[in-house]
Amino acid sequence: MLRSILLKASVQYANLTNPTRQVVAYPKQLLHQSYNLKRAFATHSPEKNTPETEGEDNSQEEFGNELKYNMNLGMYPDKNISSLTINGKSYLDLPIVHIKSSSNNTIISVTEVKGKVIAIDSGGSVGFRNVKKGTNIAAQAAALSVSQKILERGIKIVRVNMKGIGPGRNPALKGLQMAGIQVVSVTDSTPIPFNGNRPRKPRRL
Amino acid sequence: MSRNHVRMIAKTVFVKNNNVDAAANVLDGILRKDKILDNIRRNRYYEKPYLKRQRLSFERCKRIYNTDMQKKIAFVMRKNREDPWPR
Repeated sequence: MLRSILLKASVQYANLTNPTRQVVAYPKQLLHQSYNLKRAFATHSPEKNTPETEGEDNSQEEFGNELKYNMNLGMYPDKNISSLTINGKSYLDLPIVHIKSSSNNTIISVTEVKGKVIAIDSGGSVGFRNVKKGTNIAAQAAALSVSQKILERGIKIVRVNMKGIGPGRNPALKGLQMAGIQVVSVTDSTPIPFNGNRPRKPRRL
Repeated sequence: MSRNHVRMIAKTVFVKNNNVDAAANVLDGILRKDKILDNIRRNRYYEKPYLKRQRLSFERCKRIYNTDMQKKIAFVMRKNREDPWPR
């Protein structure tokens, strides 16, 4: 008795929440097994384009992300780097995203090969102040903001250059990826002195 | 700094199949192996020569201890096998 009530209720609930999906009324014996409850809410007909999902552009995610390399890449660049092309464009001509992450801030700037800046954003320019600039959220926000500026210009394929060790180093990369920019290579160029200038004295807290 | 020099050849990792996280992890591994990150952290504040000597001596002792302990564990594990004379 209780089982049949529960079953009917679950079917009605499923129909309320997802009217386009067909729900199969499940046999009474299997009602109390949790994995079969999942199947009770599952679709048995192929999902059609509902009005909710029509707005999303799913085709780009499937087909637009393939990059055409003209040679088989290893892990690291070698002496043939000057002859590598990606989607027809030479690798050495790709724009560079510089991510400078210090302990108090992250600055993300996109430049051309020679160094001319195309777009620049930092933790401060996206609205964070003082302490909050040096957080991973600020870095991600800055990355998203820069990516939007770039995508308007039509730049989608990019290589990344990271400088410094700070909280924003990886979140900025993540932000770039989230915004839909395709990263081809990741470099690190944190300045390493061969015992150059003497750093400041240790803090005594 | 020469800007005519081809940049981004050293410490570079290619991204395969849009897996940026994997490439970043590989890069991190390289930096860790070459102790670049350690050096950067250490260079943030100046380390006086006497502190440096202390640290190096501590690391050497730790290395000796660790290798000997690993050998001991490997040896003892060899003896930790099924009873050869079950009854």
